[in-house]
Amino acid sequence: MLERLLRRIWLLGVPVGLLGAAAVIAYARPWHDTVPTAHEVTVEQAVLRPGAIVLVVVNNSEKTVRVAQVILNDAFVDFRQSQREVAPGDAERITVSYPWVPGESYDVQLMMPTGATIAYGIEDAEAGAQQA
Amino acid sequence: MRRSFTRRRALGAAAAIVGSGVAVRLSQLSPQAAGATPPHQHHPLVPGSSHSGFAAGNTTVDPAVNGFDPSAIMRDFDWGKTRPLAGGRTLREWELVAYDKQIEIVPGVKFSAWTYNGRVPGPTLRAREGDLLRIHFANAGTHPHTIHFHGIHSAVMDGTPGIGEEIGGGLIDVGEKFTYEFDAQPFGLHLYHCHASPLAGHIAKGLYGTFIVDPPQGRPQADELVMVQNAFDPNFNDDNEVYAVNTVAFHFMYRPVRVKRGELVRIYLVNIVELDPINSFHIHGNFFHRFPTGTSLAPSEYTDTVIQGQGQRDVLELRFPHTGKFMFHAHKSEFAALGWMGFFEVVE
Repeated sequence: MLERLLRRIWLLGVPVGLLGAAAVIAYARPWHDTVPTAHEVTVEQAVLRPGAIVLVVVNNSEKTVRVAQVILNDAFVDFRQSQREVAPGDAERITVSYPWVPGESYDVQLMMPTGATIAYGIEDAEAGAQQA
Repeated sequence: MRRSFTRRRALGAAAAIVGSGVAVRLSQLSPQAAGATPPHQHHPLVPGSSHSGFAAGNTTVDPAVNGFDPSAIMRDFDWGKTRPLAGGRTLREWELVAYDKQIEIVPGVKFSAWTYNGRVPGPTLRAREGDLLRIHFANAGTHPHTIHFHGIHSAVMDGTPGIGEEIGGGLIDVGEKFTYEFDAQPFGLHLYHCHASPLAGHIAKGLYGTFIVDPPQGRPQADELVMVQNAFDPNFNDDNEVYAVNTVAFHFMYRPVRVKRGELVRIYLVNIVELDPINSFHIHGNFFHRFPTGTSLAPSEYTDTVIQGQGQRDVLELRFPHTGKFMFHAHKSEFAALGWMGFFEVVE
């Protein structure tokens, strides 16, 4: 009796398990790996100076983060930062050397070591500070 | 790469996140960060050092990190293990293993790749027309894969899922093996790549390589270079952010391809970029003869720019009459600025 019950549970469990595994795989899309997210890191201010755009980046997460690369209008650009990593709750100023033009617009993407990107936009550029 | 957000939307999103903490956090900035521009340093690969964008940082990825060197890949031709057969033919055999590997595609940025033999692109397999080829494939990855060769061969050896399963081919499951066997034909510049679904995903993750079949009489002696134009989408937004030749962005800006003045240079140019429909190759200060797919020994064109669709290949031949550094890059300028540019350095 017990053996028959266990057998039924086993027979029922196999297809249910397989279906569950298939659902998890379909949802997780493992071929895309874990999609990196960087929403806890934000650009909170941009200051435009002649030949440079200074971005204030704030790390709102509980982990140390690092900006590995900066893409500006679909081009990797040279940039400087005073520290290699930004501690939780800390802010960092990233200076991008760029010949920005008054009145034009710029798309900035900060690329993390995982490849995740943080997007920031500047519209109608003019000298001075721009709050996000 | 397509701009994947509108500026207005990004501003709105960022504004929604920003609270009242700006002033507080700004006060936490180090004096250097909060005030004067910090000194410019160029050591992004040295742990603990300040970071500088590599665009002016004069640096590239250390080949030891990836276990392969884009410069070495350029002149690395794998002729396989050979054995003479009756009738004068040659048997060539290779072993290819698919496995997952983290690779650095631009300084400081890692990508979870799927590889053949731990490198992207995979080994450049080379044979002569008429040789008998055997490629022993083992799938040590985490997903089913195949090897689909461009060329003329039987259906069961095509590396297409669902075809050839009766002899153990088709989709090769994790932990399984299969040997592809076919004749090397026609001569030319071909490709091999995984054909498992989703196809774009398996290719974009790095499962591809160059397959060269030499004409029976060979080609004129030359300094031969393999350039595989590839790209990566590390933030998985279905747009490429990083472009390169032989995987590492800007590598040849800092490690120029050294060639000799007056010597014949032959470039095996392959475009395996996914997500973008076309790519291109342009050279400065020179022109080249173009042999589409390398299947004819007569050039079709004398030019300095060639456009390639996905999977397209060309053999290019040229000589440099002048010494110095000459740039080569995609003439899709956006690709160039995102990594697909480099230098030839012509020496005596």
